[in-house]
Amino acid sequence: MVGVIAGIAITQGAMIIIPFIFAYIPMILGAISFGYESQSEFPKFLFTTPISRTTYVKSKYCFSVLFGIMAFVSGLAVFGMEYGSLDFALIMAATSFAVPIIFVALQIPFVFEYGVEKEGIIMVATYAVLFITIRLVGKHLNRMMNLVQTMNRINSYLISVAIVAGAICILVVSIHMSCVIVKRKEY
Amino acid sequence: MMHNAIEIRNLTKNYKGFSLGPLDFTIPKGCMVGYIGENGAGKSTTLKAILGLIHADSGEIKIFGNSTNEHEPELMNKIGVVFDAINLPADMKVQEVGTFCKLAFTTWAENTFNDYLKRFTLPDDKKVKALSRGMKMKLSLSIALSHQAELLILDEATSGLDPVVRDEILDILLDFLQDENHTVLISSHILSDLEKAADYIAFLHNGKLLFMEEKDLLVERYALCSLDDETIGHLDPEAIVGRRRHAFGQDLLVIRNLMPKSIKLTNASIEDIMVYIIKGVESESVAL
Amino acid sequence: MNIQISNASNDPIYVQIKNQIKSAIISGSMAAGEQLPSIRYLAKELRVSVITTKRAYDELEAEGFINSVQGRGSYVSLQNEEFIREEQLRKVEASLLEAIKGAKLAGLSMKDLKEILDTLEGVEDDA
Repeated sequence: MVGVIAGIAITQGAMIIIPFIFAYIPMILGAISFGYESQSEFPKFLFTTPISRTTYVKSKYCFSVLFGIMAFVSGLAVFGMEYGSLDFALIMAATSFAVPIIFVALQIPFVFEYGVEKEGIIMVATYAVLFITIRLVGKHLNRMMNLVQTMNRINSYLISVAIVAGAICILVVSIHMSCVIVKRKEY
Repeated sequence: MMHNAIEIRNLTKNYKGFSLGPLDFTIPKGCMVGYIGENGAGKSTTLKAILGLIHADSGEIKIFGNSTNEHEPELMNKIGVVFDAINLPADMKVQEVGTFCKLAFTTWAENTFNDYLKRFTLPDDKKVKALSRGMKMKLSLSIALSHQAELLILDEATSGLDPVVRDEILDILLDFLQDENHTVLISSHILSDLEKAADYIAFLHNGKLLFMEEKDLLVERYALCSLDDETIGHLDPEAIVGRRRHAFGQDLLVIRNLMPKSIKLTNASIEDIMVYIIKGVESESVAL
Repeated sequence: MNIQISNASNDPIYVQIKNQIKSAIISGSMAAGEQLPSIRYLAKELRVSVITTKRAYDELEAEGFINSVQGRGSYVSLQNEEFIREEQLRKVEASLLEAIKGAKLAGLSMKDLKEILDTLEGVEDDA
């Protein structure tokens, strides 16, 4: 299904979709993994093994980090090729990295706290945000590109690094919050 | 050299409408302790508190002499756990369970696990959801026995299983206990299993521990008899622990050596002891 | 070695085990120095508590029938079977002295006593 969307995106020329697909996948995978677990009460088994609660929490973020990296690389390639500007590509790639990380980081503590049933509501909210963002970005893409072209290279590096660092900060905070929630939780 | 597998001091846990404790008891090494009590008495709560799955409101728990407050996840290598449900993803295959456990446990013994799978005829490629209740239990047990555990904790693991399977499991537990460093703590409603092989019986009722005793002493101390109301009137009231009144007399659980020699007594099973004590505790305050 | 325990018996299980091992030793079917099964193995096979088998062995050791070595197991006492037999003999003599005393009190003659002995032996054989 992802391939279909990607294929459509490419043919339609809306390459910008691709990094957002990389944001979408870890959310789905996360929802699936939480869903499986809640059915079988897997954490109950898990915590009778030497696997710590911290390790368990971190494992939930793995996909988002992985896809974040993939999004960065693909974003760099896609935006670089499409628009020919390294500065712009760098910033968009950084954004592509940030998107899956931030979206997942925002959701996971809530899923731990309120259970995977509420995940549906959380996902819908996230899609809504996603959709709106894509529309906005699409509208202002040209304006953004022009803006970026006026920046010099150092600024674009700085902005990219800031975006990436910001995303990582949010990730770390989210992990910490999730650990607190999971350590408090009873199985 | 510590002699106790588990030490529980002053454990309490409060839920809405139910509170457990304060509990004090000790599980010595090398024996099988049967943890009995009616549904909702708090047995699972106790076991989960021991395992760190729930947080106690107060009290201290020590496993192998180390307090569980400084909870080391590696300790779980030494504890084998079997719950009444298998708690593994339904679509996981038996073989994949083995692979997961290999990663999860640092003391995983793959050959031991595979031997158990063979012994229980659990096919590698079968999914967890396709296993019968008995097979799920055997899989859980195989996992629990394949990481060099010294302490086995079973929480209602045998409920819903037929007597043949339960007998097999009892044999396996007795095998496990051949090593005098190994300990088994088993909570169960199926008292006939514990009847045979338990060394101690701990009885939980409404969150309080009524006693923890050598099973042999219990069997020696208590007995059953069936008498008419008049004869009962002549008995030492301290001798009667619990009674069931029926249309034609009363069935009593009594303390053997407080009974006159003339009265015929029969042996009481652990189940009898449990049921009559609860009857006795609920209707009148009775000294045990 | 054969041990059969009965739940219906009036004797506690550890007494049954103790007595059966004792007779095996006295009758000679267990030789001096022969190793007994470990208390855990016995508990498993008989499906009784380890505390039960341990109690039986502890009492057998206290009575001099077996020796237990920490970490190695339990063995039939090297004490002469003679010694054990003499113990039993002493017990028999003591019981008989009691019987003679009781007979005299009841006004029975020695001939009566011997008849009773014969009758009882028949009963014991049937048991």
